[in-house]
Amino acid sequence: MSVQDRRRILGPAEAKPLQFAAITPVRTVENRDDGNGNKSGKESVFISTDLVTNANGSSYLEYMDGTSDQVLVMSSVFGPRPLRGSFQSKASVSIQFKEVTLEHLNTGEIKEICTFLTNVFNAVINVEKYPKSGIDIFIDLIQHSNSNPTEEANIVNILPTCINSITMALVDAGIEIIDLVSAGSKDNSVVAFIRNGHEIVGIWSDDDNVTDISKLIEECKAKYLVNKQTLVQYLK
Amino acid sequence: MTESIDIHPIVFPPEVLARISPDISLQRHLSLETRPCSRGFEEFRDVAINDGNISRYSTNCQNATTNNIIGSSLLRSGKTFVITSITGGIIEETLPANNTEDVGEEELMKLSEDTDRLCENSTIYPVVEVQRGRVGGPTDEEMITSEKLYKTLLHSGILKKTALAVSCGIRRTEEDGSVTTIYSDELLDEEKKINEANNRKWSYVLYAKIQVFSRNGPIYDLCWNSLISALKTVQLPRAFLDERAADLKIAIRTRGRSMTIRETYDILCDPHKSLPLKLNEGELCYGSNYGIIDIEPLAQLAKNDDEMDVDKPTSVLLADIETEAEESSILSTLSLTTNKNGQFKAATIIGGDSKITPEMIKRCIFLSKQRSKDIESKV
Amino acid sequence: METTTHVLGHVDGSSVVSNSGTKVICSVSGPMEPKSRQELPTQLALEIIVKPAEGVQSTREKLMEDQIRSVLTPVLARYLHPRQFVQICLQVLEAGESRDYTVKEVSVCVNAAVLALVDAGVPLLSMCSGTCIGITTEGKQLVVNPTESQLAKCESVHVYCLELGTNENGDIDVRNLLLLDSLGSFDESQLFKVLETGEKECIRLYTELRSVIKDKVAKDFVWRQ
Repeated sequence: MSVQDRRRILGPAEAKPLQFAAITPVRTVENRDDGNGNKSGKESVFISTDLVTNANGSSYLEYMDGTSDQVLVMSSVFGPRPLRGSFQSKASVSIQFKEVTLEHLNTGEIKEICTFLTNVFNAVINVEKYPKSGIDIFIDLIQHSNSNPTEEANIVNILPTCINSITMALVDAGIEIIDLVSAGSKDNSVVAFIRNGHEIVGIWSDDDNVTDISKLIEECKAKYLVNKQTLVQYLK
Repeated sequence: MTESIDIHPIVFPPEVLARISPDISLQRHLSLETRPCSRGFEEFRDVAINDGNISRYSTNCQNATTNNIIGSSLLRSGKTFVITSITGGIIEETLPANNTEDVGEEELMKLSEDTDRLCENSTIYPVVEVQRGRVGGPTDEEMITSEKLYKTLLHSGILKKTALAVSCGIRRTEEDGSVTTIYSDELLDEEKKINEANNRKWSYVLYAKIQVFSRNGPIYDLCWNSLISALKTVQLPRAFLDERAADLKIAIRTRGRSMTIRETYDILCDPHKSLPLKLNEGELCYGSNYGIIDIEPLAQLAKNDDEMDVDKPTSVLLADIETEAEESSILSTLSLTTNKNGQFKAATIIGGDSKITPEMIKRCIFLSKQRSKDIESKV
Repeated sequence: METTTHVLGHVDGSSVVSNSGTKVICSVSGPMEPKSRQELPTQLALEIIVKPAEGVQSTREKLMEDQIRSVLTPVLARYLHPRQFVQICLQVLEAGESRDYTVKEVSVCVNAAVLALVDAGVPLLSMCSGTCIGITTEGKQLVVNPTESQLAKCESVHVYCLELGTNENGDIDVRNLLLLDSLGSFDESQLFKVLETGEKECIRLYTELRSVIKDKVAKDFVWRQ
């Protein structure tokens, strides 16, 4: 960077970040996956909706897949609030994604995540209900224990939790949505559904060799139904 | 034309009044001897601190292989919570060209210590971010808090330069392909000499990322306490050079003179071995804040007709400012960073409107010592 | 302390103040029309800009601006100019201290700003003056207005600003403590010693500022006599 950021204290420019030597293969992939995507053990989700007090609505989700994978995501919804500028007949939804602790994703990936989620939620939020308004959603990834900067599967592992978390935050904020959105993942793909799996609102795939798309959707749908049931149970 | 105008008093529910006129709302609360946050005048919020299982050295860490966070803290005070993660870097120190003898260098160090107190102190590079539902560059508050943390730590002497010096090891690759790493304090005497010939010095640089959520009052003290508790968890990984790289020299010739430059190469960190960061434990201290506000007789709820006239503006001391009403209406504030014995590291007293008397400062000091003791027991 | 006022022609008020190696030039513009985001419905808005002696603005100057703002806000009669705004620009000419310290600059900035505000004719409720104090590592001696080398030997450094006025009888009246900012290692008794010594020094500076203003007013309003 040629121009130094004068609004942050960044420290000496010549310092190099710590680089850890490649670990000798002591740890192996013991119990992450038994090959065909059926993760061993119990998946569990912790949900809370009163963590962020200065937002209109918020949610905090801890997702554990029963092995070592742990995803902690917090979402806060600000709005509907007045939008500056010219008249708009629909609400404008914006989603910002941020990593709170580790920084493993690059700006391009973060942008992709934001665009994907914005598309999903533009389809689900009843935007006609909120003219001249902005709905700003902030997702903070607090921790993703299996994240590895060299692996591509990172995003797929966190996306379903992000979607669930935003749904809960929107419910907490009292913003009208047409149905609870949730998602399921399989291999390197994520599919987001509404209406009991009859309607798809988003597909994310990092997999180049998906052969049978309907099979993929069916498998994601099964997980979606489980996730959705969890959300419904919390809201009851 | 003789219509009379009726004047109706407007009654607002408490939460509406708090929004449209925070000062009156606060005064009404104070007249009932309570606060908008329903705490007592000198009562603090509960504080909970742990390491949040964020660092690679946390006991339950799942991702030690890819995690580059070396110290962390999760602090909760009331509804507000602060997440601090500390990462590190390594910087090569510029040494004078003729540092042939270690003894001379130490003397030089001592000499400079005498003249400049800050010379031996080190600090951390903090970036504070407050979640506020907006995107964009850092706000003034974030910048000011970062700068205050940076300066207070530098002046406090809690972190010394010597604690950040890298004692560098060498990685050897044997002929059979096995790799061993040797650190200078594990070396035999003769090997030590070889190591010292490699006359270069490195030190660690620490960065802190401090994120504040559900902000509901002044944040400096929370950030300071979180930073100190995170620093206490920092483990510095051992660092080493590859043996082959350690002696790498390139001869060059410029303007008829020949000289050698040494290759710049990356210093690597040991994924397993680490040493705890040495802090000046005796100097550790924690922050708390106070506000002083005059009680307006006019804004009081009338208790009793007899008492009405005797009231005259007195001021009250409130500990641990919280809620928008308190923050925006209280202009006289104190922020004290002390340990339980009253050894201060920083103090900021601002007299915005209410007069600050020595008695009040004394009372705040007394409270802040107690508060420090409480926080210290939780870190 | 050496002072000059009305040094700049294109602003409403200006001053140059120097004190033991630190020198600051200050300009005041206003009260004038603010930008809409700065406007306050019932009070005068204040913008303070500090420019360092070397390089460009950073977080260090932001903190100084914040401290100077907290000193000047209570002193200004802000209710007299609602929806208007005053810009105070402080350019440090000689820092007189390393980048790790700001105490000397802040105290001189406060004095310069007050003089420039008076020069600009912005209404004030009272006067204020600022000083800096260091406590040495050896001997724990209080040093008022330390030099750069003295500052480096101090265990703790303090900025101290006081709100002052003169009552009807002509006596100096200490109204409030505006700012105490302390860094380093110190204890309670040292803190109170700083408050005590600082008060004396601020009163001394106040009388000095007053006599400067008196001379200035006598000169500016010579046509009235």
